[in-house]
Formats: sequence, C-alpha cells, structure tokens
Amino acid sequence: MPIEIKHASYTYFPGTIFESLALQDFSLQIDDGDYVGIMGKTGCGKSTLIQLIAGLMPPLEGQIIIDGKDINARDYPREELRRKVGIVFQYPEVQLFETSVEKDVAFGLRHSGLSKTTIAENVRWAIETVGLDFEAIRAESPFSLSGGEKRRVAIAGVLAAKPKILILDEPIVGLDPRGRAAFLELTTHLNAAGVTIIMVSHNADAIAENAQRVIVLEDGRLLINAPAKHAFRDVALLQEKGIGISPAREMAHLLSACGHPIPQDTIRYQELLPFLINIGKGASR
Amino acid sequence: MVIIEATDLVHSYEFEGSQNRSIDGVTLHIEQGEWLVILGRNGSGKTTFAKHINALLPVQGGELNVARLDARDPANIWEIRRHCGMVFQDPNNQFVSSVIEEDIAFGLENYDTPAGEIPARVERALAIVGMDGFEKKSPHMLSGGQKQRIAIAGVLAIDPQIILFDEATSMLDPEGRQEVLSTIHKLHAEEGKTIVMITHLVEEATLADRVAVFSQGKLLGVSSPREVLSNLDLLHNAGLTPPLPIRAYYDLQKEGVTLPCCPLTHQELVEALCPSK
Repeated sequence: MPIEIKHASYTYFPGTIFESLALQDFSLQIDDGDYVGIMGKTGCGKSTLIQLIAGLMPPLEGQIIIDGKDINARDYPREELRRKVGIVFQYPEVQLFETSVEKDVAFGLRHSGLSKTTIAENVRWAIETVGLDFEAIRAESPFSLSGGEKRRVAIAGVLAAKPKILILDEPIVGLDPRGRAAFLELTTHLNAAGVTIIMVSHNADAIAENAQRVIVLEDGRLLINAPAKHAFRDVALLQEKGIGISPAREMAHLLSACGHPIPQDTIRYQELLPFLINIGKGASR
Repeated sequence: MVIIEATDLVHSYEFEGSQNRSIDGVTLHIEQGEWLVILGRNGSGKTTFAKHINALLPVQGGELNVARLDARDPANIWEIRRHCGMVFQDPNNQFVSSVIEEDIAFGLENYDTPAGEIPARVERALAIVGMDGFEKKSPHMLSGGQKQRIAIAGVLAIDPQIILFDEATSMLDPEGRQEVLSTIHKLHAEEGKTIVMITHLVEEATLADRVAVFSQGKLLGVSSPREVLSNLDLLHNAGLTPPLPIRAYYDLQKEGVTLPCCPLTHQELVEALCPSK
C-alpha cells in the first residue's frame, strides 16, 4: 500500500510574526518500492514533507495515509509506524552514543518486543548490509571509526528495524566521491529488495543516477512530480528556479543547442555516452 | 612570494592510546594570491592540514610558516590567526549574534579594533560579499548561501591575507553554492586573497589555480586542475572520481575518438565535440 499525502498544509509559528508557510494544500502519492528523489531550494518545504511522512509531526490540515491508515488518527498504532518508516537525518553520525557499534545499532530495538535472537540477527544483518565487517567492528567504539564508517553505523541503526520505507535527508553531504558511490549503491540494493526509498538531496547527479521518480518542491507546492527521466526535461525552467540539473542532462542540452539533438530523457551518464561517441566519430571524420 | 610554507609537516591524533597519523610528512608551498583546492577522501588529512594553517592545531613535527611567521612559536598564534580566516561547512554554527552587523563586528572587537573604525569595516566587508543593506537583519532569516556570505564577511572584516574554506558549499543548494563560489572568485580576483579551499566536489577544483590531492595523510600530487583531474591514476589512488567531461574524454578515447585536449568543463567538451561552433 502506498503513502498518500492528501491536501496537507503546514505552517510554522502560525499567528506570530515568524509565521512561515512550509507546505500548502500538498497532495502526493508514493508507491511501494519506489525510489523517490526530492529536490528544491532551501526552505521549499522538503524537510517538513519528510517529517510529516515519518509522522514526527501532524499536518495542520490534510492527512498522511500509509498502508491505508491515517497515521495521525487517535487509534493509529504509532509503534507500527516507527517500525515501518525509518528516517536518517543529516549527519546521522552525530547521534551515535553507545560504547560499542553493536549496542548502538541495537538500541532502537530494545523496546520493540522482538526476541533477543531476532534483535541480534537484525543487528548483524544491518551492519553487514551497510558494508561493514560485523565480527571486526561489533565491539569497537563508534567514536573510533572514520567519518564514513560512523555514518554507516548510524544508518545500520535505522535499518535494524527493517523499515519498509526509508527516508534519507541529504545523506551524502560530506562524503567523499567513493563514499558517495558506495552509499548510493546501498540505497539501490535496499530498493531492489523492496524498500521504498525517499531521498532528499541537492545533488542532481545522485538523484538522476538512482531515483525512479523525482519530486521538485517550490514554496511549499509541487513544481515537478515525474518519472526521473522526464523530470529534467525543461532545463530552462530548472535553471530559472535554481534547481540542480544532472551533468549528463546538462551536457545533452548543450549539445542539442549546437545541432546535435539528444533526447530530453537522457539524464544518466551511460545513456549519454553513446551519443557522445556518435558525435565524436562524426566530428573526427 | 610564498605565503604558506609547510615542510615535512606531521600530525598524529591520539585515540584510546593508539596514535593515528593524520598528516604524514606533507611539504607544500602556497603562493600569495593563489587559489588552491585540496581534494581527498574523508580522513585523508585535508582538514587537519588546513587547521594547521590558522594555528588551530599546534605543529607536532616538521615546519610551518604562515605569512612569514613560524607556526611552531606559540607567541605567533594570534598574529597567524589574524592573517588567516576560516569558513566552515555549516553556516548555522558560525553566528554569535542575532544582528548581522554585530556578528561581523565580533571578530574586530576581539582584535581591539578602535570602535570608530568598526562600522566602516563592517560596511566594506558586507559590500564585498554583496550583502550590503542587511546590517540590521538577523542571520537566521537568510538563505544558506546568504548565511555563508555573512560568515565570509565576518572573516573578511579582519582583513586576513589568507582565507580557508572547509567544504563551505557542501550544505548549500545549487544557487547558494554558486553565490558562494562567485564570492570566493571575487575575493581571489579583486581582493587578492590567498584561497585554500577544501571540497568533495571535484567540479569545484576546476576553478582553482592549483589542486593538491591528499591521501592517507600524504600529499599525492599538486598541479594545475587540468593536469590533476585528467590523471586517472592519481584520482583513483586518492579515491576520487573525475567529473563528466574528463570521464567522457577517456571513454571516447577507448572508442577511437581522440579529442584535441582533455576538457575540464561542460563547455570545453561541447567545444571539442562541435568544432564549428
């Protein structure tokens, strides 16, 4: 069952001089198993949107429905939501606190009602899924790890609950190129295993290379909601709105402008390369 | 003239009794007025190196001179910091006041600047970063790019010769990033500042005069952006990936298409592929 956001509105500090509208009559459906990239300028409502989906706060108007149930209804089982939806905040590594990696990853499951053996299995699975060697790292202090490893441990802590929906807020900021690639591969791997991924990022390349659907917000409203390959079509619009464009799409756009038409749904490098080769062979002839 | 002169610089962090060498014999000379970009993986020693330049970390081994001052001498620390400002990653962590002009004046007050001089210096710093007219506003109401420009103005008011940027664009949206990069360009081109910029975005390295690549505490290489970014072995060894135009250059070569020179930017790749234009 999908995530349905129905006419949601949210305003911070309503009725004060600080009043600011974050989301306005916002409706959106996210299907199970989708990989959604969310883009938009700072202050466009991205973070508010993911906090509503994660049920961290209720919308002032409208409904958030997950698996057919209004998650803000009085009788909705919140603990079910916590297990279903995992959220990884920016710089999740600052939230590490336990004395060992294993304890830190297991912490969120302490009151889950799961048996000790299930918890231990989930913890091992989560640590291995983020690409770390469980036996080598389980007893280490999380604070002795490198930045990239810390972030993986923090994400393992969210994965250990085996969420069906994983929300990631700017997860690759501060990671080096190889760390970024490894992390993005992890997200596609989880997505292939059926986890719905919702990733907020300013990095258009990461979104174009991985997401199936792209959502662009502007001033609390939907500007674009389209399959990823169509989302970057209107380069002029995106530039005007200050939204990032994937490098491959930007290249295709520039080449189209100088007489080498390349389809507008070319957003990934591997899709662009055959066109570059063709143009290159023509030019050198 | 060389303004930053590191010779065989060494630094170790200690954690639970074990020594972790984060800089391992780095020799790097940076010219006055130069724009140097430092690339490298997480934990490669980039930030540790930068924190030596403004004396946030003491020299443990090797030599370091900043603005002709010996960084090993504790008596020089404050003078070095006056010559060397630093802008960090998160603009929200860099404000000390809720009024912009007070925030910018804070550093000046700490350096005992005569009170009569302060307003003019604040005004000038704001004008350089293009934020004049924001004196009485609160930094918290600004966009990410604007906040970061205010942080730059705070550094600029002290009039340092060197400005260090530690991933100062990584948290910004594309527009904010562009604002900050244009500001850095201006500081370099018009104000003659020496810029040392750490980044994970390889594309940003194309803006620099020279690019230094760090890996495991060592300096793997330092050269022009074109030489560094087109050196696939060097990038690979440092755990970096080339930007699209360079990746395309080598992929085209494999297909028998050799472009006249290795393009750094999208525009250069377009020009190489459409020679008529």
